[in-house]
Amino acid sequence: MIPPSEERFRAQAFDVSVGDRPLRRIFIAGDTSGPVPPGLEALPGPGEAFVSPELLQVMDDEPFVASFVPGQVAGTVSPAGLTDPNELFAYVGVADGARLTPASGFGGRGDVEGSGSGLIAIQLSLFVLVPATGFLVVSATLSSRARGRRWDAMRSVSVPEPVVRHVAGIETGVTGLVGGVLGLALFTLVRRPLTSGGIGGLRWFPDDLHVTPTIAACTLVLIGGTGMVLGRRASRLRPVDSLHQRESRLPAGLRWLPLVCGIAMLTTIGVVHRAGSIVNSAPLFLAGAFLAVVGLGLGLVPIVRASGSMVAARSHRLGWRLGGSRTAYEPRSVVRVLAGLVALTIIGHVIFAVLTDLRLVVGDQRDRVLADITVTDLTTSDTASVLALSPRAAAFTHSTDRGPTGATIAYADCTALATVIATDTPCRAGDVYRVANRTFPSDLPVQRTYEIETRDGVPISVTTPEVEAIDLVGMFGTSTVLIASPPPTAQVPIDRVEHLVGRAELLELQAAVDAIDPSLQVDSNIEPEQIERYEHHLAIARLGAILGGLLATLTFLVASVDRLLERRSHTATLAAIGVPRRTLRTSQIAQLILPLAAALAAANLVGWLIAQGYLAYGRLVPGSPTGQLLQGIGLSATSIVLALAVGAIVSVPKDIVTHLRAE
Amino acid sequence: MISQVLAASDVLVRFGATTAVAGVDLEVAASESVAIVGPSGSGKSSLMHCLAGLIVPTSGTVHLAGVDLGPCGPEQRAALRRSSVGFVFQFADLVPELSLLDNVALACELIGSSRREAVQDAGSALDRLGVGSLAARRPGQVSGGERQRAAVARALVHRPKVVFADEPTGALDTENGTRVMDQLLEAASEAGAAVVVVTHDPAVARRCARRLEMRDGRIEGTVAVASAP
Repeated sequence: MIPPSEERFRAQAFDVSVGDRPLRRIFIAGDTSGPVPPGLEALPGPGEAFVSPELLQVMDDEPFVASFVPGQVAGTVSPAGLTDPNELFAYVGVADGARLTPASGFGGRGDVEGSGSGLIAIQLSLFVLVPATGFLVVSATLSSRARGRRWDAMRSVSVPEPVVRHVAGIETGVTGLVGGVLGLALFTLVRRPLTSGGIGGLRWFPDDLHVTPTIAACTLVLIGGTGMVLGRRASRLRPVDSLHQRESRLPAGLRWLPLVCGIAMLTTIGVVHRAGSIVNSAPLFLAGAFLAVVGLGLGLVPIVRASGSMVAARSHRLGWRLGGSRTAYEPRSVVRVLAGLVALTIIGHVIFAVLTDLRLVVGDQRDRVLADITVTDLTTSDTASVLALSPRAAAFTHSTDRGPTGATIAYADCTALATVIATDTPCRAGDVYRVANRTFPSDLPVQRTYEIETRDGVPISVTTPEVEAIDLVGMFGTSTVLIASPPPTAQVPIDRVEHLVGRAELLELQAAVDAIDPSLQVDSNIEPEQIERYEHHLAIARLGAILGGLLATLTFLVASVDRLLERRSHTATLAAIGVPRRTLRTSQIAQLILPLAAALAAANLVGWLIAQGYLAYGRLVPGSPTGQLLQGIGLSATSIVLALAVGAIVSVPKDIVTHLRAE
Repeated sequence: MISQVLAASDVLVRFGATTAVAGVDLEVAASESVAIVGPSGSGKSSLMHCLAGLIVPTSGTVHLAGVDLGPCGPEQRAALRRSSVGFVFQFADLVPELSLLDNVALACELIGSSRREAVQDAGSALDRLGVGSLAARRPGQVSGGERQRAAVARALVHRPKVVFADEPTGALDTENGTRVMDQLLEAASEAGAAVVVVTHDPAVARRCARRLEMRDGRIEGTVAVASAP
């Protein structure tokens, strides 16, 4: 990441073409003292340039290219700073950097212009701000009984209600401000150690996380203001016991209805797509996702209450019965405690579903990219030789329907297809697929039989399937049928072979072609920046999920401890009448685990269904975001273990009498 | 021979530099009712907590239901409280999420009764105290007097040897207070349980067979009350 303008670091990317190859040059103000980008040992001084090895070679071969790189070449950019070994790339130091734009954005030199930072900001906002808001809300209502007594004491001596609320607001606001200052100070302290480690796989520069006075001021005002509002709200007069007895105005059936409908709609999408049928499910998905999320919000209290009631009614153990009764009695406050974790679980499912989709589009993994390689002037036999010399390169060959549809028939073996087909069904030799993606559905109608002639005149009959399971639109177009079969050698066109390769395979292929004729050229449409951007998003999402998870878990723990502490007088009473400590501990743990398990199970179900529905409607194949589900379950399990620990530690007061007297 | 269910000898309770109970000797017989009165800070609640095994005296001995509490650990004292002690607190202190029936049944379940037996006994106890019709309600859904009567039922349902009542009428009006006190003493007498009441209220103290006056951690006087039932 490039440091912000406050550090006077100015850099700007300029792209030019050398023939049909892009050349990216990053001009850096020579008088800057900013951090060193990856691949360099030092910033280029004024009049100095660091170039990629490939560019250095091209400059030697084609002297005019040197004019694109002003100054003296002082060294090369190491592979760590390149997204591709054949990349034409240069860092150029300029004396007058005033005209360069202040650098900003996230991670790596590919984002000098800030591309992709909008999505990253949204991800971070969702992952971090939602749990942070939950944390604030919960923090503002901590020790509510004790504080409520204070407000009541003020009211009892005739302090006007607005003053009571004002005092409550100021108290919470100031607490929030102090917390904000401490948080910013802590962040400043850990900023450099954190960033130097390369958080989330990104190439972070410490100055990227610099807290400017504006950011600090906005943060403090936001936290203080939110604290005031929440504090005033928490101090409102309420009817006696209203917290426990207040019921929703909605009839019980209606509270469940949106959730049930939403789940049913999302399930329908998955079932329909697994059955192989194709419907326009976008409206169904959007409506289902909306209803499921809103329904979960409405239904969380009944869900938690039902879980408590069920355990209270059915358990034979006194501790579980007490915990279940408590959960059923006071579900609202429990739901408030859990809101952050529930929101984070659903957001996590959705974001990782988007990233899964992006991964399927961009490529399967870091070193596997989709390349459309054109090898000119290669004979059929040479093509076979090349393929034989680069066994890891999976070839797609194609022929054209000579009928009126002009459909393309392409071949690839299952090894190649497995890397791009997003389906749960394993590829089998002879399977037929239609090429499509979300934006461009297949042009070919289902169950249509095509009579194709190969180049050597052999007739082939192909019937298109119902399922569109291929995302190779960019390579072949939407009028393509893909057959899972090794390409007949005779059918390989001599002027064009498409390969699915990784970086290593690309080099291997180039070497194979060079072995036949060094003058032959291999071109590729690999988009390393797209891959890099995806990786940045993934890293940010992971980082955000970790931060959000920490915040949400912290919220849960703080609120749980607060609830247990506020319940200590009741616990002390139970201890006084002789309830064994083990039973008390079980009861306290049950109060934490029951609502947690119920709420997170519901959140994981809803989040998983939304993720699956998104992948299903988006890619026209049944999505299987098992990874997200496992992550969600992992978060839930972690929270449950923490709840166990908290319940076990805080549950039983040692000094019974003190708590009895406090009551 | 009168059996003693509670005996304290030279009990001293200190909280840091403060002496709450300073060398108290006390014996309570089965079915006897004893009121401990005195000004705030006189040590009466500390004495009660000590006698009930909630705190360990700094020195001296306490025998509860024939068991010397001195060598007992927290779990043994809790077991003794479950089986031999009932409590009535000033604000009833019933478990708010449980119904009155379940609150009372809890005391039976703690001594090993089956759920069914516990519910039966709890229902009978509530009936005897006149709140049987409210058995399904939670403590927050009944009046203070009704709540306190349920607390009395909880204290006596498992037939303890001693009932400790800490200001049992402190949160009630006179009429309700009198009623609760009558029912407590009557039910305890029926169950053969001794009652130790800590109170500020002279009217409540007069209902007990014996009145101990505490001041500065010491028992300064003992009065046998003629009007006790």
